[in-house]
Amino acid sequence: MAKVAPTSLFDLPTEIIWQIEAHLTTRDRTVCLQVCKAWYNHLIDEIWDTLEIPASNMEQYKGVAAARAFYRNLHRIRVLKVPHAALLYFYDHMVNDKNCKDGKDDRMRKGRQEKDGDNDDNNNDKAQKDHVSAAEWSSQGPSPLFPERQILRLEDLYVQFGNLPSLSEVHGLRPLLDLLERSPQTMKRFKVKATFGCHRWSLEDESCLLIALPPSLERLTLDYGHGGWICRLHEANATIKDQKAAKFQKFISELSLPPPTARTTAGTISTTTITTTPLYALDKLKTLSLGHLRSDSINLLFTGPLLLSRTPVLEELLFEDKFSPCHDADLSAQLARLISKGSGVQKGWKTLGFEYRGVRYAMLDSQVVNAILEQSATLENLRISAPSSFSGSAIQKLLCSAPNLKRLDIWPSELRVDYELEPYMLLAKDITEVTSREWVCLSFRCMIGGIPRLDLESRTNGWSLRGIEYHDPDQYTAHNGRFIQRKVLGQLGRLTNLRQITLGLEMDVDFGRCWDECCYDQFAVMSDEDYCVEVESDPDPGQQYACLTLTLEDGLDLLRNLKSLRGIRLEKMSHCITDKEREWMKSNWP
Amino acid sequence: MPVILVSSDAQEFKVDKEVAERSILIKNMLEDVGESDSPIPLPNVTAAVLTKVIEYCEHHRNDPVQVPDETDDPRKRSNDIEEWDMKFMQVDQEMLFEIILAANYLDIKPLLDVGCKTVANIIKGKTPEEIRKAFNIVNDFTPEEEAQIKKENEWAEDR
Repeated sequence: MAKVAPTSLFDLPTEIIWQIEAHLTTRDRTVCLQVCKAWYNHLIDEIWDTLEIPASNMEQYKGVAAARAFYRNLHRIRVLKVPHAALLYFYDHMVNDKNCKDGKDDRMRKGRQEKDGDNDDNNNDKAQKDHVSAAEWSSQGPSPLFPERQILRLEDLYVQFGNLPSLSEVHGLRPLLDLLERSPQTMKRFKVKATFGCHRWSLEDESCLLIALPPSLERLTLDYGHGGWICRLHEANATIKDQKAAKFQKFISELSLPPPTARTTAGTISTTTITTTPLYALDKLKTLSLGHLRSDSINLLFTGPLLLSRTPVLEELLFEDKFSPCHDADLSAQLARLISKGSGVQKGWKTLGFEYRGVRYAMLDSQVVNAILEQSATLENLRISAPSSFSGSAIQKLLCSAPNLKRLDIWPSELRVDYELEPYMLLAKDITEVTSREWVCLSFRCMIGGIPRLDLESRTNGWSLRGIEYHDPDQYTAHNGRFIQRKVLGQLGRLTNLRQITLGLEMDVDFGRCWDECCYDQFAVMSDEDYCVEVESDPDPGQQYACLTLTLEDGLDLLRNLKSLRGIRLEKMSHCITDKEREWMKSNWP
Repeated sequence: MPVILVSSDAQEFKVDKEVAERSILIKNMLEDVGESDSPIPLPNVTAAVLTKVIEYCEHHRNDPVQVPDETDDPRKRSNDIEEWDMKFMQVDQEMLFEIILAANYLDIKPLLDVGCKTVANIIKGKTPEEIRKAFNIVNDFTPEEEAQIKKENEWAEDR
């Protein structure tokens, strides 16, 4: 029989109610809260699930009401994006509020601490309390504000430090540390960004943040902002610099942090005499993303106990700057140390990504490149889109030594257009020089260049081909050229997951460069129509120099194992692909 | 070939296959059963509601099949109800909810969408009191509670 007809909105199944709500704005939902208790209970968590406070309009968050609302609903928030100044306002209001109201809370806290001495507390509570004490000890301000030991459900936290003046210098990072400490099981992503003119972001502050990181953290993003306003260790005045450095060294040494293995025993430390900090092992932290790096920051990360020695599974290191990082002499060396994880006893990196745009100097110098090469045993993913010392031979070395490499992206720089052959292009001669070694990696995406084209040379009657100065023309006997072609194709033939080969230029032809791009994309879906070889007519043969020829004589047969190959793209190339080759492709490739 | 649908109160409806297949549920049923003229029982839908649903499907029989687009932000397209659909949805609330339920059961995505949008439009731009009136809801807050909720959440409104 039919069900009882729904007479109220909330008789509808929940999934339909979600659909209805999806059509409402936040404002409408806020109004709905006030309709009745059922609606309130249904909506309140969702309304506060995500809170983004824009840095641009701070005025409305200065009121006490906002502060109260924030703290009352804090436990509902899962995603929080907030300027640090707003956190300070809220905290300040609440502290003032509390001081006026009563001292009852203090007594309650004392009572609770005594109770903590008993064994009936669960471990988590215990650990958390120790943790809080540690932060208190770090002299960041008065005792925690929360009336009870509330566990938050924050998953994403993004805090922007700006140049807005704070109401209270006293509290410092306390409000933020509170948030970190109270989300020990949920916090997955934490991002800090310092914007222009942020003066209060000291090394000590940064250490406190690193200490307070919750153990559930999976991704840490530290963006130091651009603009060079943060004068820290590298200040112009050498004396001040030395003083600062000494002070910071003292600060770090005073932390006297126990090694992470001592953590299990740390729980027994008496609550009254805590002088050292039991640190959580960050055993879920996989990704470290750094922006606008400074050498002293890297120094800090390394200060072993603070981060690197607490992160057994850290495997992804990303640099995602839009602008060039602030250069100082130490940076490359520090970066190399970070890449080699200082000690070398740690698990290696699986992913290294250097995605800079518009960088004008080579930050990734040979030190860094060597450090990357040392990681080849574990490296699965390498992306570089910046001018670097990654030369063809380094790429070749990596390809030969990284058995787990799943993806290699080496992108040409947009700025270095004056190079005829990119310094980080994999040259055919590099492939052939290391004769004894074969590629062990599975796939890559980068350019291969400098491959002699015998077929074209013969057709152009020795016409001077651009790019030829890189290779002694006399070297190119027919035999030699064929040898190189076969060598390159032979290596390519081992990449059995290769999906696409692009021959020729993707960039402006005027640069006179040629390369083959081999692209591996596991997820690329290509229809049958994509499986075709297009030939454009009559381009300048000068640009086609140094490309794979894909003729049977030159080693097309070596590609016979590329069963997942779905397409060959020819960019402004003319090729001598005859019926013979077409037949071969049809019969060998599915 | 017509398809025979049977409502929960045992009324038979003869509709074109094309119309019936607006419902993904029926479409899948027909595909499973193959060519057959046995009636399809719809135990969750009353004759009154089924009449409305069939009316909708008749009108939209030639619409292209909607491609589900998850990336589409529902908040941005909530107002665009076709004029015919708008008129079609001018029914009492009980019927509106029943149509939504039937659309959900029969898996007629566009109809479900229109229904949800219609309900959302009733809520939009109203005061709490107006919403209570619209949906016949009793206010179970004390005035203090209501003021408190308003105060606490209003600064989040402008987001």
